[in-house]
Amino acid sequence: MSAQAAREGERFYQRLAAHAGVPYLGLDPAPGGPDPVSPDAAQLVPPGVARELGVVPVALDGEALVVAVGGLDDEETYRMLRTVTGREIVPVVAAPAAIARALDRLYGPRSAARRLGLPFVSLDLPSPRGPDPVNHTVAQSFAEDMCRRLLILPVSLHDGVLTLATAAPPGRLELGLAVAEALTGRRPQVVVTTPESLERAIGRAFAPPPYPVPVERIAPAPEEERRRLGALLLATGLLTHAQLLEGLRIQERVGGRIGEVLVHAGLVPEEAVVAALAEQLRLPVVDVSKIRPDPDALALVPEPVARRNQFVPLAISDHVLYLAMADPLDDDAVAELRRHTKLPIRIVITSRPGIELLLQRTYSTRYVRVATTDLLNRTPDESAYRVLTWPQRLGFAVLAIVFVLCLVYSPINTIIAFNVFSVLFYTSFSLYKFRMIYDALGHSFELPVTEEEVAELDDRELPVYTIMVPLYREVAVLPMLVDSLSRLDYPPSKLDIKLILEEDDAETLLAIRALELPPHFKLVIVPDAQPKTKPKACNYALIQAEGKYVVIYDAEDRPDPDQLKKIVVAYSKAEERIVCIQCKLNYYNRDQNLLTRWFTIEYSSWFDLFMPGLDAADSPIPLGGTSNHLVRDKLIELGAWDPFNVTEDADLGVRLHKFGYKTAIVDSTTYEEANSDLYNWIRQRSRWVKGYIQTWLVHMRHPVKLWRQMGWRSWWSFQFVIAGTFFGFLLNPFYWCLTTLWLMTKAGVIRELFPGFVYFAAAAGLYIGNFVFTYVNVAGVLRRGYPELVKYALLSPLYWALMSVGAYKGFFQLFYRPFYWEKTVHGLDVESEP
Amino acid sequence: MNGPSRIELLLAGGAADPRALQAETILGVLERSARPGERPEEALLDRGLVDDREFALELAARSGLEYAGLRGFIPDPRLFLYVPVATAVAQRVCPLVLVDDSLKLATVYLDPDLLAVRTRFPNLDLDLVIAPRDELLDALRLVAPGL
Repeated sequence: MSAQAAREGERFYQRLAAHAGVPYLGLDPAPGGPDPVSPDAAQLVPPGVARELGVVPVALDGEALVVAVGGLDDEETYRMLRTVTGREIVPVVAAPAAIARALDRLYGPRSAARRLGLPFVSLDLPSPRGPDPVNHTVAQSFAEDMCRRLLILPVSLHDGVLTLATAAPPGRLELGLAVAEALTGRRPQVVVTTPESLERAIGRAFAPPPYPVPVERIAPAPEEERRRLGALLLATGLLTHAQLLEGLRIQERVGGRIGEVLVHAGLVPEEAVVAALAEQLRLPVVDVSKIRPDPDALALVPEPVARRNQFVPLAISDHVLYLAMADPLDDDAVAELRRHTKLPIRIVITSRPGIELLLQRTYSTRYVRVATTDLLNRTPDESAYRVLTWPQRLGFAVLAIVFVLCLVYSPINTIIAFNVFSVLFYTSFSLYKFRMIYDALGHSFELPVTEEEVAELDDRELPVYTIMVPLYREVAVLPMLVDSLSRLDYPPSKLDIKLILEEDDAETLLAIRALELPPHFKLVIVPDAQPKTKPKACNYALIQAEGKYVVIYDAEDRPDPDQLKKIVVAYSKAEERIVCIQCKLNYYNRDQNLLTRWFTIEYSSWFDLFMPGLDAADSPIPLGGTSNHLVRDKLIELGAWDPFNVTEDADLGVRLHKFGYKTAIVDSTTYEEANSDLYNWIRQRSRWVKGYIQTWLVHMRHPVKLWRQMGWRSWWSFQFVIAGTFFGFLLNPFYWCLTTLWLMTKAGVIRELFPGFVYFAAAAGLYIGNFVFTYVNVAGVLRRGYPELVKYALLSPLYWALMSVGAYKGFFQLFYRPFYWEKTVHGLDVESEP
Repeated sequence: MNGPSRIELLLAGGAADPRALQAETILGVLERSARPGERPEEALLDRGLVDDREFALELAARSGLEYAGLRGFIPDPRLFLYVPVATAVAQRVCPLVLVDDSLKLATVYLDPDLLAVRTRFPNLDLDLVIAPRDELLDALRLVAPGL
């Protein structure tokens, strides 16, 4: 109706009212103004009666009810209204169109939605070629007749939640909901729409597809075969009623789809769910393990889209795109695919692991390239690919030449000057470390997380969590690894555990396959390519990570069972710039031998005192090798781990600080296996020292810029913590030898190297240093609650000597094998418990 | 309204064929008119004894009201909010047009009972015109198909 016709109509009814001598009422609310219809009056007349009579109760006038009518001379209307309301009726005139609008406002679907607190939606196409708001596959999971009869339509399925559109009047709504709940086994999310919009949507959803589909797809399924997943699984005999009930109980607690829940709970094999889903949706199942996707089909969809949505375009045939999907009900995936191709789609179902392995196989070259060169390409200055830049080479060469010339020209004075520098270094390094640890002794700098907060977490709200476990020849510790990860208090269906294997490690691969792990354990096989480092493997897996948070555990790690939940709580309370939460590391085999005791002492001091101290001082924290829980998106933004740095964790800790982010510490411990074998220990330590040197060289390529980025406090902290650690280990043997030589020979030349002021300063430094490092070790084990280790802490100087051996090994290796990963053998003690 | 009796008008105006007006017919008409609420003219018109168009013209001429032919006329349904369809059918009237505060009504007879309309719409003037019965009933059938 045109506006002019509408105005003309209104004028007619205004005159009608005037002729009758009764008021005329415009029922449409003014823009932004109140509704002239009183809800109190409206509720006196049942919606059906008001619609039938074409009247709107608008107000109460004392005991009388004012009713808007389109005509005045229908005594039957008044009589009925009097009967229904028990009140006298006072008519006012309104235009029928306005009455219809008012009735729609009062009693229509929008109003019903408002009253029930439900969203109102339109199911119509936004444009003729626009995306359909109704997922036809989801819609077809209900019978068309039933949808029409009950005025309901399942329209989408997101994260396991079915959305059901209804146009049923309130009295009939519950029936539709009950039927939907009985069919799906869960309460759907309800949206309200108009009957007309619902009718059009049903027509579209059940219309024959416009593209050729297999006969079995378009053949109408007998009604008795249109059974839901649970019933189909029961029918296979692979699932009992008791198991289904258990699955439904788990689903109620943690959310997710019933199929996934059943599989993750180990109640039914994944293959059975895939087969049942295929039967339910009338889609073919395809084993993709032997399929090589057609490049033309792959070219249609960018790799990140395919990966994000877990589908793989397989082929194009007769202008139809064949698509392998694990979840054909995923609306978002189909909608995103539609943005890249308008070709008709024919979906084939495969298992989720099948899709993951197909994605890896299809895009492995790209993944390796990204894992290896992403950081290098994006920010070459942040990569350790080049050990030394040309300015650094020049600088070190000049320094070395000057030092040698000075030695030649005036050897005693040069060494005295070097001694002064060393004394200053030792003293300031010792005092800095003492200050950090002393501060941490009196405070609790960790992000506080209480057991109550962990207990209050709703499992349904927990995010997906990615756990990465890089493995290389780790067959010995596999059972323990699986046991430790299975103890984690986190819903399995929300765990994305990546067991990262190297392609040439067939032994571990076979061992894992033999374990028949549940589906949240996912295999990532990294193609054999250089550099063969843990960070490259982790980057490779990160590309496929699904979790909001990502954590790395080593093969032998035993994290506290509530660690992941503690991190979720901690992140919910943390400031926005915290993108990494480091948990504490310690050892479960501390009593194995002297080496493991020393190692435990070192870690207790480092993770329980030094790291919290650094955190409180807002200094860069060199992350521990495992149990650093990172926000995935931020990690990717930062360029992830440097595949050329053999202490990629320490480097990442510095990098994230440099770019304005922060690491926090949470009081949760991961127990690892302390190296109990001396050779193995030295290999590991040599890698750490080599990595610290790499890290220092990388970030000191532009020292002034680094100063500006970090600020002076953090800059100095970086020097002490990173450079101080390896420099001290390298320097120590020199002075230990000199001291021993002096004690044995009292050689005059040594006395010359330490004139009075240097001698006393060095002696002070020696006492301070030894006191500080012994003190922090003792404090660390006492804080950790291992008082029996105190006596071993007093023997720490022997341990420092071993550290220097490892340091020199790593230092020299930097020149000829900078990226070589000294593999630490695990499983030398698999009996101990934390 | 004052004026000649209905039968007089019929006979004097020549609307009726005198040859057809046999005694028994007249008697029959009178018998029927004895039924409460029924007009004798209806019986004459029903039997074809009187031509409705001639009758309407004669009535208009004698009463001074306008004559309005309604062949092909489609009434405005909204105007039946003034004159309910039941009233219109019973009183043989049909609303034609609303001009300002005046509603023009076609009527077959000179004295339709419109008291209810006047009571409901005291601020409305009713302007009557005469129309042939069959044409008026055809128009009413468009809004009251069962008529």
